[in-house]
Amino acid sequence: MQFYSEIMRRALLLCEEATQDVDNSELIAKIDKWFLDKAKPAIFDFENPENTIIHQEKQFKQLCAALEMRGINKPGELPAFDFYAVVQHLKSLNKPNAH
Amino acid sequence: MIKVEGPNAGQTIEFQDDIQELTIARLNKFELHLLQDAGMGSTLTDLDLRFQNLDAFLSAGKLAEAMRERENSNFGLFMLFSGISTKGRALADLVHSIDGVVQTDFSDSACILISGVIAERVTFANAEEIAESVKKKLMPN
Repeated sequence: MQFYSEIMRRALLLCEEATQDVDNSELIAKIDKWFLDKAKPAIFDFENPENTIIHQEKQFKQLCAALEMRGINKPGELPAFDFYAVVQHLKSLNKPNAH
Repeated sequence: MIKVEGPNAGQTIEFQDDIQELTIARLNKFELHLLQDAGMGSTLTDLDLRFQNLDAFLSAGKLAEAMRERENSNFGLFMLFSGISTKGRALADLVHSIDGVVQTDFSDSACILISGVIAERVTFANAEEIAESVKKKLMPN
Protein backbone atom coordinates (compact mmCIF):
# COMPACT_ATOMS: atom_id res chain seq x y z
CA MET A 1 0.00 0.00 0.00
CA GLN A 2 2.83 2.38 0.91
CA PHE A 3 4.34 1.54 -2.48
CA TYR A 4 1.37 3.11 -4.29
CA SER A 5 1.22 6.13 -1.99
CA GLU A 6 4.93 6.79 -2.65
CA ILE A 7 4.37 6.55 -6.42
CA MET A 8 1.50 9.02 -6.05
CA ARG A 9 3.60 11.37 -3.88
CA ARG A 10 6.46 11.28 -6.41
CA ALA A 11 4.05 12.03 -9.30
CA LEU A 12 2.54 14.97 -7.37
CA LEU A 13 5.99 16.39 -6.61
CA LEU A 14 6.89 16.18 -10.32
CA CYS A 15 3.60 17.90 -11.25
CA GLU A 16 4.29 20.62 -8.69
CA GLU A 17 7.74 21.19 -10.21
CA ALA A 18 6.26 21.38 -13.70
CA THR A 19 3.54 23.86 -12.79
CA GLN A 20 5.15 25.97 -10.05
CA ASP A 21 8.54 27.49 -9.46
CA VAL A 22 9.65 24.95 -6.84
CA ASP A 23 12.54 22.53 -6.53
CA ASN A 24 11.45 19.12 -5.21
CA SER A 25 14.57 17.27 -6.31
CA GLU A 26 15.67 16.46 -2.76
CA LEU A 27 12.27 15.01 -1.84
CA ILE A 28 12.11 13.06 -5.12
CA ALA A 29 15.62 11.68 -4.52
CA LYS A 30 14.51 10.54 -1.03
CA ILE A 31 11.53 8.67 -2.53
CA ASP A 32 13.77 7.12 -5.21
CA LYS A 33 16.13 5.94 -2.47
CA TRP A 34 13.17 4.41 -0.60
CA PHE A 35 12.19 2.48 -3.76
CA LEU A 36 15.75 1.32 -4.27
CA ASP A 37 15.97 0.08 -0.67
CA LYS A 38 12.77 -1.94 -1.14
CA ALA A 39 13.73 -3.27 -4.59
CA LYS A 40 14.76 -6.88 -4.68
CA PRO A 41 15.18 -8.45 -8.12
CA ALA A 42 13.39 -11.77 -8.58
CA ILE A 43 15.51 -14.93 -8.89
CA PHE A 44 14.96 -16.86 -12.13
CA ASP A 45 18.00 -19.14 -11.99
CA PHE A 46 16.54 -22.67 -11.72
CA GLU A 47 19.66 -23.89 -9.93
CA ASN A 48 19.09 -21.36 -7.15
CA PRO A 49 17.03 -22.89 -4.31
CA GLU A 50 15.38 -19.48 -3.77
CA ASN A 51 14.01 -19.34 -7.35
CA THR A 52 11.04 -16.95 -7.20
CA ILE A 53 8.85 -18.88 -9.65
CA ILE A 54 9.38 -22.24 -7.90
CA HIS A 55 8.80 -20.59 -4.51
CA GLN A 56 5.47 -19.06 -5.68
CA GLU A 57 4.41 -22.29 -7.36
CA LYS A 58 5.14 -24.26 -4.18
CA GLN A 59 3.11 -21.80 -2.12
CA PHE A 60 0.15 -22.20 -4.49
CA LYS A 61 0.39 -26.03 -4.41
CA GLN A 62 0.62 -25.96 -0.60
CA LEU A 63 -2.49 -23.79 -0.41
CA CYS A 64 -4.32 -26.20 -2.75
CA ALA A 65 -3.20 -29.17 -0.63
CA ALA A 66 -4.44 -27.44 2.53
CA LEU A 67 -7.83 -26.82 0.89
CA GLU A 68 -8.03 -30.47 -0.25
CA MET A 69 -7.41 -31.56 3.34
CA ARG A 70 -10.45 -29.47 4.28
CA GLY A 71 -12.60 -31.32 1.75
CA ILE A 72 -12.40 -29.00 -1.27
CA ASN A 73 -12.19 -31.21 -4.36
CA LYS A 74 -9.60 -30.15 -6.99
CA PRO A 75 -9.23 -26.58 -5.70
CA GLY A 76 -7.00 -25.65 -8.66
CA GLU A 77 -9.98 -26.17 -10.97
CA LEU A 78 -12.17 -23.70 -9.07
CA PRO A 79 -12.94 -20.39 -10.76
CA ALA A 80 -10.62 -17.74 -9.26
CA PHE A 81 -13.56 -15.93 -7.66
CA ASP A 82 -14.77 -19.09 -5.87
CA PHE A 83 -11.22 -19.98 -4.81
CA TYR A 84 -10.66 -16.60 -3.14
CA ALA A 85 -14.12 -16.77 -1.52
CA VAL A 86 -13.30 -20.22 -0.02
CA VAL A 87 -9.87 -19.06 1.23
CA GLN A 88 -11.42 -15.94 2.78
CA HIS A 89 -14.14 -18.03 4.44
CA LEU A 90 -11.63 -20.51 5.90
CA LYS A 91 -9.44 -17.63 7.12
CA SER A 92 -12.43 -16.10 8.93
CA LEU A 93 -13.16 -19.49 10.58
CA ASN A 94 -9.57 -19.66 11.82
CA LYS A 95 -9.81 -16.31 13.62
CA PRO A 96 -9.87 -16.84 17.42
CA ASN A 97 -13.24 -15.08 17.89
CA ALA A 98 -14.94 -16.89 14.99
CA HIS A 99 -16.72 -19.43 17.21
CA MET B 1 -14.21 -12.04 -22.71
CA ILE B 2 -11.81 -9.97 -24.82
CA LYS B 3 -12.02 -10.74 -28.54
CA VAL B 4 -9.13 -9.83 -30.84
CA GLU B 5 -9.46 -10.03 -34.62
CA GLY B 6 -6.44 -11.39 -36.52
CA PRO B 7 -4.93 -9.80 -39.65
CA ASN B 8 -6.80 -12.25 -41.94
CA ALA B 9 -10.57 -12.58 -42.24
CA GLY B 10 -12.12 -14.97 -39.73
CA GLN B 11 -9.08 -15.06 -37.44
CA THR B 12 -10.04 -14.48 -33.85
CA ILE B 13 -8.53 -15.02 -30.43
CA GLU B 14 -10.71 -14.82 -27.33
CA PHE B 15 -9.09 -14.08 -23.95
CA GLN B 16 -10.83 -15.06 -20.73
CA ASP B 17 -10.95 -12.09 -18.37
CA ASP B 18 -13.87 -13.18 -16.19
CA ILE B 19 -12.86 -14.06 -12.63
CA GLN B 20 -16.01 -16.21 -12.35
CA GLU B 21 -14.88 -18.38 -15.28
CA LEU B 22 -11.06 -18.48 -15.27
CA THR B 23 -9.72 -21.26 -13.04
CA ILE B 24 -7.33 -20.32 -10.24
CA ALA B 25 -4.66 -22.66 -11.70
CA ARG B 26 -4.66 -20.69 -14.97
CA LEU B 27 -4.72 -17.34 -13.16
CA ASN B 28 -1.76 -18.52 -11.07
CA LYS B 29 0.16 -19.44 -14.24
CA PHE B 30 -0.72 -16.05 -15.72
CA GLU B 31 0.67 -14.33 -12.61
CA LEU B 32 3.89 -16.37 -12.71
CA HIS B 33 4.43 -15.54 -16.38
CA LEU B 34 3.77 -11.86 -15.61
CA LEU B 35 6.41 -12.10 -12.90
CA GLN B 36 8.88 -13.33 -15.53
CA ASP B 37 7.79 -10.53 -17.84
CA ALA B 38 8.34 -7.90 -15.14
CA GLY B 39 11.59 -9.39 -13.80
CA MET B 40 13.42 -10.40 -16.98
CA GLY B 41 11.25 -9.45 -19.97
CA SER B 42 11.96 -10.20 -23.59
CA THR B 43 12.21 -6.91 -25.46
CA LEU B 44 14.88 -4.25 -25.91
CA THR B 45 12.79 -1.91 -23.73
CA ASP B 46 12.78 -4.56 -20.98
CA LEU B 47 16.56 -4.93 -21.30
CA ASP B 48 16.99 -1.17 -21.08
CA LEU B 49 15.01 -1.21 -17.82
CA ARG B 50 17.23 -4.03 -16.49
CA PHE B 51 20.34 -1.94 -17.23
CA GLN B 52 18.80 1.13 -15.58
CA ASN B 53 18.11 -0.93 -12.46
CA LEU B 54 21.63 -2.39 -12.64
CA ASP B 55 23.12 1.14 -12.72
CA ALA B 56 20.91 2.22 -9.81
CA PHE B 57 21.96 -0.76 -7.68
CA LEU B 58 25.64 -0.22 -8.53
CA SER B 59 25.53 3.47 -7.62
CA ALA B 60 23.81 2.60 -4.33
CA GLY B 61 26.51 0.02 -3.58
CA LYS B 62 23.95 -2.82 -3.59
CA LEU B 63 26.19 -5.38 -5.26
CA ALA B 64 24.13 -8.52 -4.59
CA GLU B 65 21.07 -6.89 -6.19
CA ALA B 66 23.20 -5.60 -9.08
CA MET B 67 24.51 -9.11 -9.75
CA ARG B 68 20.97 -10.50 -9.68
CA GLU B 69 19.80 -7.82 -12.10
CA ARG B 70 22.71 -8.62 -14.42
CA GLU B 71 21.75 -12.29 -14.30
CA ASN B 72 18.13 -11.37 -15.11
CA SER B 73 19.26 -9.23 -18.03
CA ASN B 74 21.05 -12.34 -19.37
CA PHE B 75 17.78 -14.28 -19.16
CA GLY B 76 16.00 -11.38 -20.89
CA LEU B 77 18.63 -11.36 -23.64
CA PHE B 78 18.18 -15.11 -24.10
CA MET B 79 14.40 -14.61 -24.41
CA LEU B 80 14.89 -11.80 -26.91
CA PHE B 81 17.24 -13.82 -29.14
CA SER B 82 15.08 -16.94 -28.85
CA GLY B 83 12.03 -14.96 -29.99
CA ILE B 84 10.11 -15.88 -26.82
CA SER B 85 7.74 -13.16 -25.66
CA THR B 86 7.25 -13.24 -21.90
CA LYS B 87 4.09 -11.15 -22.28
CA GLY B 88 2.84 -13.54 -24.98
CA ARG B 89 3.44 -16.49 -22.63
CA ALA B 90 1.34 -14.75 -19.97
CA LEU B 91 -1.47 -13.98 -22.40
CA ALA B 92 -1.43 -17.58 -23.67
CA ASP B 93 -2.63 -18.67 -20.22
CA LEU B 94 -5.81 -16.66 -20.75
CA VAL B 95 -6.71 -17.85 -24.26
CA HIS B 96 -10.24 -19.22 -24.34
CA SER B 97 -10.49 -19.93 -28.05
CA ILE B 98 -8.58 -19.55 -31.30
CA ASP B 99 -10.67 -19.16 -34.47
CA GLY B 100 -13.68 -20.43 -32.54
CA VAL B 101 -11.93 -23.59 -31.28
CA VAL B 102 -12.07 -23.67 -27.48
CA GLN B 103 -8.70 -24.43 -25.84
CA THR B 104 -8.61 -27.37 -23.46
CA ASP B 105 -4.85 -27.99 -23.27
CA PHE B 106 -3.21 -25.64 -20.78
CA SER B 107 0.13 -27.44 -20.53
CA ASP B 108 3.42 -25.53 -20.87
CA SER B 109 4.05 -26.89 -24.36
CA ALA B 110 0.57 -25.80 -25.51
CA CYS B 111 1.21 -22.41 -23.94
CA ILE B 112 4.38 -22.01 -26.05
CA LEU B 113 2.47 -22.89 -29.23
CA ILE B 114 -0.36 -20.50 -28.37
CA SER B 115 2.07 -17.68 -27.56
CA GLY B 116 3.43 -18.13 -31.10
CA VAL B 117 -0.07 -17.61 -32.53
CA ILE B 118 -0.50 -14.52 -30.32
CA ALA B 119 2.83 -13.11 -31.55
CA GLU B 120 1.69 -13.53 -35.17
CA ARG B 121 -1.69 -11.93 -34.70
CA VAL B 122 -1.60 -9.48 -31.81
CA THR B 123 0.51 -6.33 -31.99
CA PHE B 124 2.87 -5.57 -29.11
CA ALA B 125 0.85 -2.49 -28.07
CA ASN B 126 -2.38 -4.50 -28.14
CA ALA B 127 -0.81 -7.30 -26.07
CA GLU B 128 0.33 -4.72 -23.46
CA GLU B 129 -3.18 -3.27 -23.37
CA ILE B 130 -4.84 -6.69 -22.93
CA ALA B 131 -2.41 -7.74 -20.18
CA GLU B 132 -2.93 -4.47 -18.28
CA SER B 133 -6.72 -4.61 -18.54
CA VAL B 134 -6.81 -8.27 -17.45
CA LYS B 135 -4.44 -7.57 -14.57
CA LYS B 136 -6.72 -4.84 -13.26
CA LYS B 137 -9.78 -7.03 -13.59
CA LEU B 138 -8.43 -10.34 -12.30
CA MET B 139 -5.88 -9.62 -9.62
CA PRO B 140 -7.35 -9.68 -6.11
CA ASN B 141 -6.94 -6.56 -3.97
